[in-house]
Amino acid sequence: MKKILVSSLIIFTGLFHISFSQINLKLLVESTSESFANPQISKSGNILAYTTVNYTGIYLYNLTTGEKKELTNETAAGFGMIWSNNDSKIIARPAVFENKRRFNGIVSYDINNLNREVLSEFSTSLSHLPSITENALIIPEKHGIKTSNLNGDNSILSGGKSVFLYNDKIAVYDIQSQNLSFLTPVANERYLNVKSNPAGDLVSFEVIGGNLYLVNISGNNLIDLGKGYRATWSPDGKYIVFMVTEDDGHYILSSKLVVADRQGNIVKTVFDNSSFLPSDPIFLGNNYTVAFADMISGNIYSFDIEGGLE
Amino acid sequence: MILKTSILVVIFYIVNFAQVTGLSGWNVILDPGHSVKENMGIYNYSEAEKVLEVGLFLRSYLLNETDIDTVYMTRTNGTQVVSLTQRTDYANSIGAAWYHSIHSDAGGPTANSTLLLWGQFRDGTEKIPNGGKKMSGIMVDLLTRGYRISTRGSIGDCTFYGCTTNGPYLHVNRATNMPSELSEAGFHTNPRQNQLNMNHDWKQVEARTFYWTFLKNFDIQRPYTGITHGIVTDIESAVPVNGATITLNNKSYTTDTYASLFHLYTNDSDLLHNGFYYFDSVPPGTHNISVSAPGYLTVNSTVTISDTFFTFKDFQIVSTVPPKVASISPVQGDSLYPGTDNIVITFSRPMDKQSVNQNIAFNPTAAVTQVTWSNSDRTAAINTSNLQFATDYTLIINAGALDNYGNPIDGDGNGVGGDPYMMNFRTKVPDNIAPAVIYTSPVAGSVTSTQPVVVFNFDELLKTGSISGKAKVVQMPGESPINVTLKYYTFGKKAAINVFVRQELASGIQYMAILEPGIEDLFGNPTTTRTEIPFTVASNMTLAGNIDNFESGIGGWWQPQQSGSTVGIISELTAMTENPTVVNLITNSIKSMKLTYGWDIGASSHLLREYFASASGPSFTNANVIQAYVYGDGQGNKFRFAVRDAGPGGVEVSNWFTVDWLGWKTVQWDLSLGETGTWIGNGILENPLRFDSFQLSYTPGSGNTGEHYFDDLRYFNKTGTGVESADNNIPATFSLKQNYPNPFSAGANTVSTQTVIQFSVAEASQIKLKVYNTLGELVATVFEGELTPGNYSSVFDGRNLPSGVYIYRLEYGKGSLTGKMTLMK
Repeated sequence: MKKILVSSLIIFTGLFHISFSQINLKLLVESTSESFANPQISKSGNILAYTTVNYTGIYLYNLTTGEKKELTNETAAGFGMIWSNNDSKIIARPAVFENKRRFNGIVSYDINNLNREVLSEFSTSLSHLPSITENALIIPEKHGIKTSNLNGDNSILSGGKSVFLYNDKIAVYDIQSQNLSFLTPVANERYLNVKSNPAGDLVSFEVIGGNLYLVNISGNNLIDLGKGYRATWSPDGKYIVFMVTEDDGHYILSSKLVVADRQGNIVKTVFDNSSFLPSDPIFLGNNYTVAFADMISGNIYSFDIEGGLE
Repeated sequence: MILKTSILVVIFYIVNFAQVTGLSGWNVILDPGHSVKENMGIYNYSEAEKVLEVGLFLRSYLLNETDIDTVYMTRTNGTQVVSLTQRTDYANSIGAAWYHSIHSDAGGPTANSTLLLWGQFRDGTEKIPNGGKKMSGIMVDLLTRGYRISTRGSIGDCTFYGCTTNGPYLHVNRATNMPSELSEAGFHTNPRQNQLNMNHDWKQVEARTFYWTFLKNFDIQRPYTGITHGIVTDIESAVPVNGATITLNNKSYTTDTYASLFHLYTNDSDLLHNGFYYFDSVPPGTHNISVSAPGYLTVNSTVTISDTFFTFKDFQIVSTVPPKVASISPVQGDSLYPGTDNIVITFSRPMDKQSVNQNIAFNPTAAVTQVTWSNSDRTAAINTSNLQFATDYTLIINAGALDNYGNPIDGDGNGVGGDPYMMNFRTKVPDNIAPAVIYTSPVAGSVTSTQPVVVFNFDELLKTGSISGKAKVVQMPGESPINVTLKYYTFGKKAAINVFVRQELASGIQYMAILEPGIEDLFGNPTTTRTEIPFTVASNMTLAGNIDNFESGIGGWWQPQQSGSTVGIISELTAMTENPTVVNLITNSIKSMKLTYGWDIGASSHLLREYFASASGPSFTNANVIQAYVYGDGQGNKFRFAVRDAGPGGVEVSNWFTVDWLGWKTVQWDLSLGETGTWIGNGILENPLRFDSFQLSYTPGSGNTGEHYFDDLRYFNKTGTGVESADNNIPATFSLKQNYPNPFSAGANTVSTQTVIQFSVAEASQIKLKVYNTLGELVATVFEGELTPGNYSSVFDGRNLPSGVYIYRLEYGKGSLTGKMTLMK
């Protein structure tokens, strides 16, 4: 249990703006008795979904009206949650524990009427996260891929290719042809945090125990970005923002946020301050505002990238 | 006979192929902590290497012996570098049912225990989903019994570490959406433990207890275990035996050797031992078991296998190697003082005292009057009172000297016993030189705290009966005695007297620490000169509070090895402990903190960080003074303070203090001066401040082992600056008093080259205090600056000036005053 010094500057979280080294930091969600994490912005950029630090529950914050509400308090619902394309639903994989066994289910939450619809029954074998295309929900199940219409109508499933993790591999599922293929850009490795860009032509992913990469959806043009975690794409698909952390095996000691472009060039470090441990960075509906959760305070902040990215 | 064979066949079938049911529908993710060779333990075997093997064993048991759905692992080999976020992201991504993180602990070389840490919110409740607390309770019991060491228990991580966030504290507990816990199985900084950790099968011990924990958590009956293991040690030295072969039911297990294992971690073929053996799949019942090893008597025994847990079977085996002299002082050809220095012999084995005593002789003949034994009858100290001065002697230990098992001494060390041991030495001429004072504190003329501790160090040991009343503190003029307590300490062949001032001294008054003549060394040679140290007391420092007085123990402090900043130490020689004997008498302390260190002189850098982790430590500012009583060992290594601050890097350090004193001394860092050393901070003390650590470093050429004690770590408020204000009275006129002492001198045994000049300021003025020689040449400016009305004192040091008469002159706005003083060298 090796321990290394951790130092931190506690800031007053009651302030709504904190100027720090040229960055005007905006407090979006303030920690209560819960610390918050994993902000996810809706497709329109109007509503921020977030969860607690161990992914219990889903909460909503309307960036326009300031309204906040709880969507669910279910265990594990906040990990891997995804917005539907029309901002009306969040698809998540909550869990229930019975007799120490874990049952995962795929659930759709209507953010307007708070209705909850189970899309895939709770099971001990549901070990993959869902993904969506335009109107299609893709659920990787133990013995195959299950698809359904997110809108609940009989319209034809659309949206091209979906990229997701399946048995530690990068799976590419063509919603039209129903063809499942796998990318193995780094041989004999396990993958994590797979995200395709909005255009669907590039994929960011991590190798467990390795680096952050970009690769073409066809599996070509692998780009090694070095150490980096939890990358997410900008709305225009030109950039990814990700976190670079250091830890001592027990506690995260430092974290900074870095932006790279789709060619794999590190554009800049956009946030690096020892008073914060930024995590889960996302572009907040545009290409210049980044939101993140602070692992020290449990708050969620946003800031505009100094000088932009162009 | 046929029936017996059939039973055995059935039993082996059960042992090897029993399938445990009841885990169907469950899965677990195993998380071997750290990566590659991170968290290096003692002797170059890391925590990361060990816990990976434990995890792989555990996965194997679960997959091969139970109906569990699956077992995930965060890392599966020794090359992956897996971050904390990847570990928890992976677990959350696959939606695992349980998370178990496998670690070992770090600390001082004597620390070794188990610990389970479950996820806990700041309010004390268990994390949700819960279950980790119950699992931890089961696991810590089984693990501790399996390891046969003590335990710190099963504890919520917020309670253990102290949470400043909502909790849980540990990332693996905090960021996982399933029940979780983290195990700490022993200390990889413990020499005995980490030598065991190196053994491949030792990891099965830990893995088995985790496996059985999972079963118990599901109320599944533990299957027949059939495992026996133990440690083979030398009965006398308790050192585990390498290369011992244990035979059980026609299976044999040979304990690790340098050739088989330890060469991976050291070039010293005799450094590492674990003596560990392990048999599994042993049928129930009682079995013959034997142990043989080169150079040892063979042991034949039996073992009855437990059907519920490990069956422990340790062996202590007896060496057949004859005893020899392992070390002796003085060494061959060296000399000693008769009656003062003993001849100290350490044997390789515990000896039969009577036979050794009867076989010791000197040539020329001298009676052996007293032999004192210690170290479990391995060490003999022979009194030399009957030896003559300035004489050549031979010490003889005849072949009749036996060890405890009747083996005769091997005098020439060739491995065959029965020959005498001989060593030539010479006795010295009588010592007729008086002890010399080699260090004093405070510095003459300096300003101390109101209850200082005075230090006198000597170049040899003293007769304690000659000390009483010789060291004192007096008020000047008149030498009125101050209430003090004397304490005498020895450091090898050097000595220290500490004078603890037991009453509050007043500012504005002159004091003198005095060492009177007549202090004798062990040969009765007395000192003949008087040592005088004039000093005054600070008026501008008031005690603001304790940081730690150690009266509640050392629970708030880490072991040096726990800090990732600590480098270049010899871990087994480095430890922080509580001490009840070497304490600061000024505060009537009953406990202090002892820091024992060993520096690896071959290391490229050296830093020992003794970290104060207490969350309740007080906050102070860069206007304060922090102070500690530090008991030095005179080795010449370095010491400094470190404080946590709000600036970049988060920690600032003081300049280094060279620990060249013996005994207690007050050491302080005046933060208000803004002076910092160089470490990870930016050199600026940015409030708020909290105490971070004591830090030590090695000075090349100094002793690489030693010990310090720390007591009464405090911080003070400071008011005013410049020359010392003597009191709060406002004088009616400007005045300049006669300096004291006068004459002031620098004789061979008088340490004061300084004198104190007192003056009064009647109204706020620009003040200059200067010293001139008799030719009217300026030789020193003692003070220059603005002063408010009051009485002041200042110190003038004449060490760089020749003997003679000097004029000191006080200049103020409306006039000047002069005085005359004499420096004698």
